[in-house]
Amino acid sequence: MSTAMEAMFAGRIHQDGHALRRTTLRHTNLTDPALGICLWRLGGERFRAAAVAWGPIGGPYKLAVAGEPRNRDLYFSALLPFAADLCKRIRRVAATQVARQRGRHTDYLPADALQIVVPNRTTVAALGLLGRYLAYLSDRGGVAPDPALVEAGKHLRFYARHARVPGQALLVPLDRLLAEHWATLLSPFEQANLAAVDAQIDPPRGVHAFDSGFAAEASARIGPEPTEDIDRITDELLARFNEARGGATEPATIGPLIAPIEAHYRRLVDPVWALMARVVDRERALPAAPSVPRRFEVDREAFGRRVDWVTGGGRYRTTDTPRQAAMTLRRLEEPLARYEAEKAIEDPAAMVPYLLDGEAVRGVVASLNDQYRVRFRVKAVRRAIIALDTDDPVILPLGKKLWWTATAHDHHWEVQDVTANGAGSRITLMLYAAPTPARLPGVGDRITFSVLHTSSDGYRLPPPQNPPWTHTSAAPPAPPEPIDAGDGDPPAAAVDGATLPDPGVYA
Amino acid sequence: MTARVAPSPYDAAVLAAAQAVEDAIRADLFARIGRQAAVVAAAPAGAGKSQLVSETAGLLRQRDLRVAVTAPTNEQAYSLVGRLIRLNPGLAVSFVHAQGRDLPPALAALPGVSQPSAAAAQAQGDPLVVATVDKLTDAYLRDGLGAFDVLILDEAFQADAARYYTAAHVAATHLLVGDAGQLDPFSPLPDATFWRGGPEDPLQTAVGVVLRNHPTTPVHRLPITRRLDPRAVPVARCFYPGHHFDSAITAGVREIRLTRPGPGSRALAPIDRALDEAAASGWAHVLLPGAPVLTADPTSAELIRDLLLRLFARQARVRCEDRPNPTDLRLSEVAVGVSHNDQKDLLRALLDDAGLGGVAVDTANRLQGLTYEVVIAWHPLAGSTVTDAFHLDPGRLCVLLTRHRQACIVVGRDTDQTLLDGVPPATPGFLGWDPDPVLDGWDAHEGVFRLLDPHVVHA
Repeated sequence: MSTAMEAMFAGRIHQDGHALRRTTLRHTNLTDPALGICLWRLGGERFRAAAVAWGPIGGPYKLAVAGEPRNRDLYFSALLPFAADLCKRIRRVAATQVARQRGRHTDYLPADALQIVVPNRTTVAALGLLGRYLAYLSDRGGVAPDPALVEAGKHLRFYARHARVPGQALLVPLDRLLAEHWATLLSPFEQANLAAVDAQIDPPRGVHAFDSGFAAEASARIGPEPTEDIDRITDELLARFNEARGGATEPATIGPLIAPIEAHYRRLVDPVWALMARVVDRERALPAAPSVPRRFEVDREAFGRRVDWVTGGGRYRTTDTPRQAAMTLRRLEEPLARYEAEKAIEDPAAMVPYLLDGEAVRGVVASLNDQYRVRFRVKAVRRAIIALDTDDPVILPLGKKLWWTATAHDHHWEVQDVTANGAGSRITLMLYAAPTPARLPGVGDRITFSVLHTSSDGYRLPPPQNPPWTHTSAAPPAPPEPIDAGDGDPPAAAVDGATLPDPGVYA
Repeated sequence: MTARVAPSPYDAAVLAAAQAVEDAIRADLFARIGRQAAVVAAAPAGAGKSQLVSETAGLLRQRDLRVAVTAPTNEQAYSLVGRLIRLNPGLAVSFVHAQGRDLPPALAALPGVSQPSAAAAQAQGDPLVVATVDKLTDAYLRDGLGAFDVLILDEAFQADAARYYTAAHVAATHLLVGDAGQLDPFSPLPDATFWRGGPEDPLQTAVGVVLRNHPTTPVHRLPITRRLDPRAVPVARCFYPGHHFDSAITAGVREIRLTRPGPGSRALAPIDRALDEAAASGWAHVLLPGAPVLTADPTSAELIRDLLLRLFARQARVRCEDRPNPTDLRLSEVAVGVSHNDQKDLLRALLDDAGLGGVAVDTANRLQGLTYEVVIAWHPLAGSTVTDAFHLDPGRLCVLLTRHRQACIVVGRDTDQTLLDGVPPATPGFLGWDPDPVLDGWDAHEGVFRLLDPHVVHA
């Protein structure tokens, strides 16, 4: 993040009274329609969804409300329609495949992938926890949970883990989408409130972004974490519900009793659902960057592979092995560098921070010599030298490696000299490869060089399957308890300060 | 008449204590040869880790054992090759390197040094191989380079568990040598703490993963710093809580001599005061007026350039245990340490223009393991408006403030210290992972500010 750019944005937003776009292109794929999911939890119950709303973005949603989510029977019965619908949608999308030719190798991958859109990153984490809970459910009293719940859990777990891939678009948290595309006056913490971000982007007429964002943050509830006022209402409704049902879990008894809780959650979901549709519509109107389809192809490939595995009965470990973690770390780092590079190379607005920070230079090619010869080891080789005239003075150390944005996938250039040139600078750069027409700009072209490139670090062999002794515990850990252990236990008594001895009290 | 014997520049008690620890390290290592086991040697900055590594490798070779020596970066590996040859004349050292990463010519020309391919090193059964961790990993996977008796990993607190995973296969017995105060393994990922606290965390250190899985592994702490002199030790101790060490050098052995400022230098008075303070006490904390500034602040960069120009204009001469007679300070013996690449680029251009091309400028992570006579450190918090994990990282400050033998000049702004007023920020906790870089950094920065207080010079 460029300090200079952020300072400029803060000043301009303050002056103009509304948020500003950071980009001229959309760098995330948005399918039409994506599946929206909006989740609410009970305070302090991280693994339980008290209410799940789902449906096509911009369309009507369905709502699953358990009433008492801490009761396993009620919880599973409420979640089942959501789980079954999710599995059906995923299987349906994955069923249509297209051939992809790579050299002489042909493989098949889904023509599309089910994109899930959620309001914020907290919901991504909540879906991951819900997925983790459902994916590893154990039998209870010889009764296995519905397979759709377990399958949906596996899918959700995959989606939440894939959300770590830089530039992915399978699971899109809208707060991150907006933070990447818009500059606001909100801190990273405040940006988690989608309504506050939206209010700064599109404030009511005559209202400054700061004031509209402040008002939205104070009033809008996005979830999945309930605020105290919501939890108080929920608590009262749950108490009445539990008293009325008297321990019953049959749908015939529960159905009429659950309506007040459903209505409570509809009041919470309605504004969020409308907000999500508005945000997606606005971002979809922006043209997609050229690299968006490539990144979504990577998503589709991952989606297809995981759906095959899950529907084939495949299982996943609850935690990574050291080998998996090591491989995942490397697999995530390379896409991150490439995503950042693609964004800036394709989008002039995204290149500005690099220009301000001296990580990129823009200028006119004043001369080109493609017959320059340098001695490399023992023989002289042909290289190209260009002089680039910039409008502003630049400070670049000699020997700095830069890539021309038009050949960012190819070889680098190196700074040979920087001299004052009128109000700007003249930079001499040498191409570190044989000069070919595709690698050379024309004299008079206005071009950009930057430290960003999209070339791969090269193929790395996977680590050995067997871990070394250093990464293996001398004493193997005890097997974990089932993830749903204790589900049938009565809830722990509430902690009441009046009943607890105070160790710090004066004798 | 008897000749007067010059007093030793070394502290005999400190040297003896260090020797005892080194002996214990080697005894533990030799006792474990042939078994899947490790020995950890933790050292403060400038303890002579490379010397320990090189001497130990020589002793292992005397026992006809096959040894792989590795370190995270190419520069560290180059340095190890030079040290191995200097301390073990006649030893054959095979440097296995990646494409375009050959040894510098002066090292490549040393007797006994060869640069075989990984396949050739394995086919020949080369008995002493040096490579970076990444290259050793690649060579093991592609060419089967392995079956060594001992793996010596230098800078083991800088190597992450992910890279160590494959490299660990090349030998059963490991000696892990490193500096716990320097920068931890790092990833640019926004959620790099995803695995933190878990046994699978790929970003824990090589030492961390061994101790987690094999808690009975012996850990030895070297009680010595050979690089830092007694004036620098109190500041360095801020970065090593619970690890006591002293300087190997006695007070007064090292000295910088500067010519007098002379008439007409009133305009340079603050700079001269800073240089005089650094020469006299080993430290100067030069403070510009407080202001929120860009990371690559031109005013700070120009001040650093002016300090360097004046240092050489006043014909700095240095004296130390290796140079009993004062000799001119060379450009290559001076470095500037920064936190950001744009600071490095700005300074590099400014210094090149000023004829100071020989002065090294680099970020803290690339200065790890290197030594200079004089260092100018651009304080990580200089002109900042916020304290975040990156700028508070104690490892970054530790590297910047422990590279020098003679003096360190810290450049910042007089509001930097106020960033630490009040309550430290809330930080996330991770089960099974005790360190907290933000709070540890907060403590270390507070301690350093306090110790630098007597050396403040306002620019």
